[in-house]
Amino acid sequence: MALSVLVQQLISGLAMGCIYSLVALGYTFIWNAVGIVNLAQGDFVTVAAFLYAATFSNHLKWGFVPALIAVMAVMALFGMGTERVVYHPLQGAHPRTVMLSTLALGILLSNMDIILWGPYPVTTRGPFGQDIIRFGDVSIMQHHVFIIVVTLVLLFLQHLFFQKTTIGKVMRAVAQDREAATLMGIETGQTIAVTFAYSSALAGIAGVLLAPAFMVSVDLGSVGLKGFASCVIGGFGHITGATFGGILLGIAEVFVSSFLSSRYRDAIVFVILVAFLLLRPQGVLGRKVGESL
Amino acid sequence: MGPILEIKGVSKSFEGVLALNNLDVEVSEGEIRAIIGPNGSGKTTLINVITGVFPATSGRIIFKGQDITGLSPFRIARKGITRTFQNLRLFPSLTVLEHVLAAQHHRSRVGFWGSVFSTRSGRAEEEGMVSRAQEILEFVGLKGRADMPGLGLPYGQRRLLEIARALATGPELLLLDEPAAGLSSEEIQALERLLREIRSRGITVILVEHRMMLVMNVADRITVLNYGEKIAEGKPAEIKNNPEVIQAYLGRAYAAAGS
Repeated sequence: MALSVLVQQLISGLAMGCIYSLVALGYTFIWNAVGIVNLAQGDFVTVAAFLYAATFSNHLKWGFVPALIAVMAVMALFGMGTERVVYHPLQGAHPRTVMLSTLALGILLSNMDIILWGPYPVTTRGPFGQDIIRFGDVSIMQHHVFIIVVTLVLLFLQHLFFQKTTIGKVMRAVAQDREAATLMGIETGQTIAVTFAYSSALAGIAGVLLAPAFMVSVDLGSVGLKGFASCVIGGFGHITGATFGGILLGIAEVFVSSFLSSRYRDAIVFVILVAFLLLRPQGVLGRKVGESL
Repeated sequence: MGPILEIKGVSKSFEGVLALNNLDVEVSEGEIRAIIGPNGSGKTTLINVITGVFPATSGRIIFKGQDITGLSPFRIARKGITRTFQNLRLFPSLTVLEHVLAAQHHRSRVGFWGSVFSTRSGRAEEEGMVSRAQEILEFVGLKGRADMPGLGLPYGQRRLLEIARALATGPELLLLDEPAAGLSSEEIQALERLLREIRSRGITVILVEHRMMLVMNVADRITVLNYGEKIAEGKPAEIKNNPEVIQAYLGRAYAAAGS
């Protein structure tokens, strides 16, 4: 394979990987805060993609940046609502019960997508359309570069937030020992609501970045599974791990489909997922835990 | 001075097992009150009930004349009651300073957005928080350790960090669950001095402790629990010679031999 093709593949894999990382981080923050896997995370991405493509971009003709901000805001509110309705009333119930409740939300959302936006896939033009950048014989989709840049900026801001701001420190404390935090006067309910809002906003960004690159349909929800696999690869509950796992998965997918066949594109995700669950369930960066659900 | 904490007829049962049985305790403002008793006598349960970790099965808890029974733990903490944990519960990824900052957070007037966008007033407030946090660290004897990870401290200093974190919430009543466990005798002497300094700052202390030397040296009054009931209360000298206490600790035979 020519080097130029290799580089092209790598960039497109990185771009997909960034999307998976964003989804994976959504799982991670909720997991760390409340010990729940939000099984509707992938459907949040679909809702955001529809909101952006069908409503803000195609219908209201908003520019990319205002549309992105609007989708993130709507999704953040939606996340807080989810916390109130789906998680909060079940506090103290078995985690499995809460996860079933998020599964139900996911099913509800994917059907609501069809009711609101119709059964046909929606396409939209992103900020760069199908524009391509050329370096010698390497041609790269501008949108892919854009996805990577946006993700890097976001990861940097997120790092600043958790390391530098007091509220970020408080959120880390809550994630690590909720009971001890609450006994230090930290209102964990509030930080949990913020966590849900942020996780949903991440799904919002993922949806907006995905929409111009794909046809937007309920099938987009499968990124939820890929994000989940990313978490398992990196080590569930591990922020760096989730980011790393997503990128690894994105690149693996692209190379498998070009070396073997694109029919194996989705299969490879399951192969990797099963392999990790069997051989290294704590993931690349995670530590072993004795407890299970 | 009047009572800061009144425990009135508090019982706590776990699936029929009575861990606290109709307990009445009054703690005066500004004192160091030790709570002692054999293992399983209900000391830690009492701390958990006061701080709202478990609701009492029956009875009332009055703090500064206000009924706090059944309030959620963070509200009780904000009213001025905090605690440390017998088996240290530090936050693994936070530095020493960050532990104190996180615990101070609810006293800050900076809201969420002020903290995120570091507005000018927010920044001034946060600088004030950092210097207050440094003061607290110096007070407990952790000066110069601010930027270490909390779990990077040696064991004895982790206990001090738990005390610093609890002090950071601005308590009027501090509950210490076996703060001397695992400490060397020099560290216990330092802890004794620290407890006196905490008291001299007007903070009431409830000390659950097994190390009798520390208890006898530092406590103003001692409450003795056995099987969830109060069997004695009084000044250290009175407790030391109370036959019922000796019996609870050392068994009937020893008490009989001693008398």
